[in-house]
Amino acid sequence: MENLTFPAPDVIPGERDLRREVRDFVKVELAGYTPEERSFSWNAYDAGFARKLGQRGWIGMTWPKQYGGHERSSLERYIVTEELLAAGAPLGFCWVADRQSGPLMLRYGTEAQRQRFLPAISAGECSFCIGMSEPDAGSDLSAVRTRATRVDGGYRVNGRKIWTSNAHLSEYLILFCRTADKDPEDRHAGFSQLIVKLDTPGITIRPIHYMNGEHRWNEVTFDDVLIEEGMLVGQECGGWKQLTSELAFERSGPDRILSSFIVVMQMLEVLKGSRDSKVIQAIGKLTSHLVALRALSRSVAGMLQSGESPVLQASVVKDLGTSFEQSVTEIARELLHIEPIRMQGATLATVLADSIMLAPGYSIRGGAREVLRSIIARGLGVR
Amino acid sequence: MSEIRELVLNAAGAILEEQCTQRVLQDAGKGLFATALWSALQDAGIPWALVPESQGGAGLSIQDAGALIRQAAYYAAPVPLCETVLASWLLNAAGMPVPEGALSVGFAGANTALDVGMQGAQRPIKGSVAAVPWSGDVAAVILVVEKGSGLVLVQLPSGSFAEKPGINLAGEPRNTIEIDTRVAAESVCSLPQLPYSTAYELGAALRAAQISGALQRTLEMSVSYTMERKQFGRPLAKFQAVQNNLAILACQAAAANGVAELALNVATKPGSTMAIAAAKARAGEAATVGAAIAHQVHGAMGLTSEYILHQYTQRLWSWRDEFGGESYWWARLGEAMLEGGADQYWQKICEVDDLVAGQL
Repeated sequence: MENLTFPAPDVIPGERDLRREVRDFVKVELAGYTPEERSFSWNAYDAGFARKLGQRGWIGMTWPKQYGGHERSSLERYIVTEELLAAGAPLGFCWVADRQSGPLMLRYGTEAQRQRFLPAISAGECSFCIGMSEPDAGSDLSAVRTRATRVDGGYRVNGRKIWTSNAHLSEYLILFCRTADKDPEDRHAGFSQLIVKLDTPGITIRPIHYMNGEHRWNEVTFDDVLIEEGMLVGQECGGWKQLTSELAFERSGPDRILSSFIVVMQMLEVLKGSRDSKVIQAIGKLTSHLVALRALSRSVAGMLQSGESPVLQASVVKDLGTSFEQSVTEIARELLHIEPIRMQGATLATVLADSIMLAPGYSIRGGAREVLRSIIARGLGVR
Repeated sequence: MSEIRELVLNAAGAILEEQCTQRVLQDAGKGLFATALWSALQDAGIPWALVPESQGGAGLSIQDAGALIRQAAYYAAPVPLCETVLASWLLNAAGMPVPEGALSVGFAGANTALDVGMQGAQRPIKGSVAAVPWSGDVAAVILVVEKGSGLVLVQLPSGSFAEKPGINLAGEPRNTIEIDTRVAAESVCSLPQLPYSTAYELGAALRAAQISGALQRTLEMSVSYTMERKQFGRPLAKFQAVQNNLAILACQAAAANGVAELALNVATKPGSTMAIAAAKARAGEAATVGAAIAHQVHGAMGLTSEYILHQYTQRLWSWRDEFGGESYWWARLGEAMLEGGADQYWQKICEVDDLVAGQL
């Protein structure tokens, strides 16, 4: 059985000052930004806000200065991210580039890629999205069929991606695709990652509307798309390993805890000072979960910072964290006599309505709950 | 892990592994004190983990002592180790000498009917205190009496009180003691600066550590049992429904680990009530969910007195309510958070980190 301990992370020097700095920034920059808008947080897309984050040095915080980074610790990045999420800041523009694409290039990319993309990302001027899922490849990415074939001058790509968040707004996409035929001996072999500029001829982006009518997802089709030389990230056919090495970072962060935090805040606005024991108990229970999750999540951040690879613990945090996020809307329903009606001015009812519809996705995106539990079971040694 | 922690854990682990046999646990459940186990722990100096080296103790941090207590819980050690550690920390805080032998702690909050005389060479002590662990098996019971914003410690030697015997779910003594005696002046110490709640919360933190230890054990037992036990032609662990349950149990054990670590880290620091409240409540919830799954995957076998699983689950069911159950701590936490409302909520949540960092 693998280790399930969660040691406290090292003390982060200047944590309080950094938190205050972010809170002051948010107070000014998001004044007039409504709770309804805040509730979309890391999915809300705001290029202007990203540039301001870039000016503050809060994108690519941990990257080397030579690439526009700021050489801060990943725990400092954690604090900034958490504060921004707690405030419901619109992080969509830089979210994927900061969390995944940038670190991917830093670790596996060519020098030319780093110099071309990282400074632009950290300035908040270059946005990325991720093309992974396909119609027949959801949780099982080894079923990906989109194919890149070597040709003179680069790769030619054919295939189709779905659920691609913000593809219609982003400049680039990191494509996970096949560059070799299926290997019956090794289902993880033959995949590569390519950087694709989304205005390349042959790419068609069509909206897939979410059930609340929102356009965030897309279907991205590739018809004989020519990808220029130099856009392969890492090794040809090394894509699977590159992909999985990012997962501990993706699964254990504050974004897996705070998705419905604006509902918590709106609920507390209404319930402040309540003497109702049912309310007191429920808020106490919710708070105990939040405190516990933050302790676990910060611990994983600390382990990542010291170079460990706590894949099992990260899966645990995501499973518990997304369950918490989902529980919030139900707690709100239990405590408040309110119908989830979306209406101008009815703030609480509107954020509740949106959260009820977004909540099922929390335990699907970034690794479905069932997949996480399989990973945990494997860590226990029963698979 | 610190070097010293590793060292004491190894030493204690060897003793616990050897002594905490099924027989010893079963006998303890029938009221027979585990003398050999206690002597071995005592000879290794483990019960005085929190006593400074200058006073003859091991001088460990609360985190390291908590790790030891967690480990003893992993073995369901049926002895007042947690209580002796807590009692000796209190005595040391009061500058009182720590007596030889096992100790217990009785908590007398403001609503407890207990009178403690504060004058004269012989101080009258009269009243009763409930749920005192192993009161009949220890050298002395340390009463923690709430007084104003502080507390008074009273050292009651064995035999100086009557007992109304009670046992918790695991058969561990939890007696109500009836006191009508006089003790020497030096056995009473007033600590107006040490809040009663600090002592109680340290107890809660140590119980959270115990819960995490016992949950870890139930998880390991559940994994190995389901790997061995075959039904429908294959091990139970190969069924996805069972794997799902085991994964949930692992998540709960992990959560208990995390909050126990947090609680031990902040215990006795001023302003730590909310963190302890969250930790003990969350650990209690983990105990509930975890014990239920452990039993579910063990089937009828886990319900027998012969099979050892109940030694852990019964302790989990008792410990989750000792030093405040979930509803007690949820209420404390909920009241504090509702008072400040949305404006202060996030700030209060983050103060936990300042506490851990020692910067609050």
